[in-house]
Amino acid sequence: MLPDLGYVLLTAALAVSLYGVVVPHLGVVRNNWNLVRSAQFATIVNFVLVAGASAVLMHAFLADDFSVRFVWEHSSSDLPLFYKISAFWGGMEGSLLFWDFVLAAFSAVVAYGYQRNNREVIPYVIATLNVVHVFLLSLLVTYSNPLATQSPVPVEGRGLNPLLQHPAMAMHPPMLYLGYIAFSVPFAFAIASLIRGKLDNAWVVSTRRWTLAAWFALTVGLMLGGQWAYEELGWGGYWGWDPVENAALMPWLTGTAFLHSVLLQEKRNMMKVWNMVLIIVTFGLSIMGTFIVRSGVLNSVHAFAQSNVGPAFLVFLAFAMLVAFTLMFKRIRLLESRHTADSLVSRESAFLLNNLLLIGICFTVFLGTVFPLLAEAIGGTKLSIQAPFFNTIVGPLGIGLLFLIGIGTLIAWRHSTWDYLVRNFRVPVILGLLTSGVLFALGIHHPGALIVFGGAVFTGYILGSDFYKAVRARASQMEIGFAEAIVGTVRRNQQRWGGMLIHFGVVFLIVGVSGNWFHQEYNLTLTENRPVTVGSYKLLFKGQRTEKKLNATLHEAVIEVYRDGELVDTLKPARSFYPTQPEPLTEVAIHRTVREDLYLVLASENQGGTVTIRALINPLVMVAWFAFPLFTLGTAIAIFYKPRRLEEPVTEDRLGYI
Amino acid sequence: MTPMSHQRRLRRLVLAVAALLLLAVLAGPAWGLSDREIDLRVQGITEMLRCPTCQGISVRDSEASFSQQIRAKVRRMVEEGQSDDDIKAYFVSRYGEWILRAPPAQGLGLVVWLAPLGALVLAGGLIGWRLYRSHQNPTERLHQEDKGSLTPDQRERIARDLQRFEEED
Amino acid sequence: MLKSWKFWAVVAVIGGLTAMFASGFGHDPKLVPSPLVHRPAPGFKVTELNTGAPLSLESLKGTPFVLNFFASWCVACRDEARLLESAYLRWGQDPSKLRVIGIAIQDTPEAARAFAKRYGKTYYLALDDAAGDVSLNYGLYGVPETFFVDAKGIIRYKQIGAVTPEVLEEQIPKLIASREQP
Repeated sequence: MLPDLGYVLLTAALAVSLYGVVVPHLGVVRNNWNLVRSAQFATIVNFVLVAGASAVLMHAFLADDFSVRFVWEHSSSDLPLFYKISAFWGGMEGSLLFWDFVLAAFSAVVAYGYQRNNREVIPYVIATLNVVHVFLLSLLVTYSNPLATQSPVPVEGRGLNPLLQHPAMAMHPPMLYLGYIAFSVPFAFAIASLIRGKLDNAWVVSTRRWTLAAWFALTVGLMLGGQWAYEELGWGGYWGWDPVENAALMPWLTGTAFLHSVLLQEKRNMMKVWNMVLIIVTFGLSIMGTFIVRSGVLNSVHAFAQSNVGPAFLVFLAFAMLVAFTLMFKRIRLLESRHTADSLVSRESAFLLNNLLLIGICFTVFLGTVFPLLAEAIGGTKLSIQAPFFNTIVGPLGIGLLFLIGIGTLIAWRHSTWDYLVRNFRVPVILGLLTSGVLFALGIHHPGALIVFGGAVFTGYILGSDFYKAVRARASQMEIGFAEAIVGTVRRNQQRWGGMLIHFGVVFLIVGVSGNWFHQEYNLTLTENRPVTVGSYKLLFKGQRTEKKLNATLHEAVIEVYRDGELVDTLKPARSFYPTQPEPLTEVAIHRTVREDLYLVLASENQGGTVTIRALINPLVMVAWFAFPLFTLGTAIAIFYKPRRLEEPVTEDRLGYI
Repeated sequence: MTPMSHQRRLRRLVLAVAALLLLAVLAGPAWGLSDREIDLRVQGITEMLRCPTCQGISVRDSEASFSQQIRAKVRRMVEEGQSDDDIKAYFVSRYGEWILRAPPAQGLGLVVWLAPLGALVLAGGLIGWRLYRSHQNPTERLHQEDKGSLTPDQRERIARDLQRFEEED
Repeated sequence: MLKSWKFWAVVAVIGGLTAMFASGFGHDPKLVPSPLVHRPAPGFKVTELNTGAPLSLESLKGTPFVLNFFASWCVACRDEARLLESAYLRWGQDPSKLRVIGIAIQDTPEAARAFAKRYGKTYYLALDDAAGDVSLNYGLYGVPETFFVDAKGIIRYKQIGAVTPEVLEEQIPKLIASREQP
């Protein structure tokens, strides 16, 4: 009964969305603001309807209602509560409903929150968002109905894949979706601006915080995915360049490029066409990402059963891109700016280079991901493109970005003289070279590592000293204490200093990732009570144990870890046997320090009481994870600021550059 | 010593030396490599082979049965003295190009390897060229164009806002 | 706008990518064609599971054969087990015309024998050693896989996954006919 009600709500929501596509346009054409107002209200109605349907599905999960097929497929009565909730987005139908739910919430906020400064475009913003709704809801009421029922009603559900029963994996899809959906907002504003021919910078300024929030959500989603892979999959890495990982990375790359180049548009009125291209492509890549994950067209870890939403997503993607680019080309005269960078040695150039590197990485990732498909379509051959390709090309580009952060922070707008460069870059360059020199003397000869560590010191020093100088200037000018000056400085320009923290996070991330160059690997057979040396640790195997945990049986190997003669940890790598899975899952055991992770995988239990383990020493992993709090703090600081109110609604392009 | 036993001893000596030489020849190929060197070579080769039953993982990283067998076979081939290329070629002949984790730099594979660099150079060149071209027509022209269309009021507002902007950064 | 080459370039790119993705539908990316097809079958040397009778590629010279790789733990192998046995009974009774061979991989002798007994397999069965020499030599990446080799020792066809009656009907007569070809 209840599921059927939910389905009716979804159908009603589809009707309301269709209304929301057509009516705003009518309102503009007939100059009838009441029509537009009704469309605004329709977004609220839409949200209520979709929220209702979502509540029905959530209730079905919590009540173990296996008459709902989706619940039966992804849940079971013995599943812990947290995972029953996260099973909502554990499969395609539920994810689409989650997507539409969040989009409906964002649409309602946008419909009412931007009336003052963006009156001209709001009707089309609403219409564009509703077009996406129409697409999602059409799928939800036809192929992809999460509330479809089945009979007879099974007694027990199929359960959630134990691989997915991990907190990071539970939060990974919603974070990614939040990112994709949040990028729809600037996209909708861009489309609306194109339709109306209102191509000043209002759409960029108004949606800045959405862009930042979207970027942050995608970043967290990607990091959670990496954390899950590291802790659950047991191959010792956190990023495998799997097609689905790449599908989520690409909109992140263009989104980051967009975040930077809109600053160029705001400050110097440059790159207006390019920014339009970037936001259209970012939106397109998020749809393409979902397409790749759900269509089964590419070989991947995430390969869910090939479903019939693949063609629908492809058609929608092609349609959206064609319409968006046609609109852009139609208005291109209004977008082309006469400003370009004055000099090669300027912050403008640094921004251009930033975009070049990020888009270069995105192109590489895209090429490597789809090339097997292309090769098969054209030449009929099957090729693999995996980590070695991506690491070789993306590595140097990433290192370039590391240095660029430092250079871009220090270099001036418009033009920097040679004197200025020498004066300001002298110290960071010397410190960087010194770092590399010291490390070389200490025995590290890997050229990549020397460059990365030197670059990290170079950039880190620039970022830190930049902030320090500003704080010190304020403290002396206003004759206040340092702590007060810090708060005041940050508050005065939250975007800049929030950005600085985020950049620090990137430095940590790159340093952490470069630890991979030094990882060591040992395949060992352990006998009870006989110690074995692994790197700077001694491992002592104390025996096997069997333990029952919730719905799994764990076969553990108890291993004591000694360092410098002291017991530092007891690790229990295990293989867990689930009743529903033919093969056991590996439970990795990790001893983490800032310097390195000791990572143990139980490969096999042998006859005679010995065990074979795979021991990895992964340096600097904690350093990479430390980027996460920096990203969070930086985004929080940057996002919670009062946007500068434009003095008057701007109408034509020439005055637009203020 | 009788001449007979002297002969026998000589024969035995020759046989022993011959046996040693034979052993040396047979063990020859692996002679040059220490255990650690073999490990490193095996790691390097298996890093480039994809686990045929997994998604995206190398033979080196995977615990799947086929991967374990491939690792052992690669090790045997290294100990026999085969080169990295020979070993990879063997697996390609049995599994297809697909078994390599990145295409070799020939033919279609070359396109993939060169395309990113090519794209970067192209894009960089395009940007550089446009910067150079705009240098021929710098911003003075822009100011001239605008002079006619701004009212003094607007110009004052612009100047005010510009100043506020410069202060921000 | 319609005159702008850039616009049409963008349209072309969108169209091309869409076509490329669409071509992926209906293809299972996990199915990989084998480079061994149309090439000489790799050598092997095995012994029979129960009797220990040896068999090598050389000893099969001039005789076409069906080489099936299976395992007792493999679910799909159960589907094809009886099909292969009936193919053997139908075409393989004269060992000079056609041989049917089954090799169990990553298995124990006991489990393989039990599987054979359960599905009534009476043709030549062997066990690949722990090192997987034969499976690797044949580029195996799963079970079941079946190779159809003609009288000249060339692999005519490789079936990935369980064989179907259609495949057997189509391939085996061709193998038998290959004996008469010059």
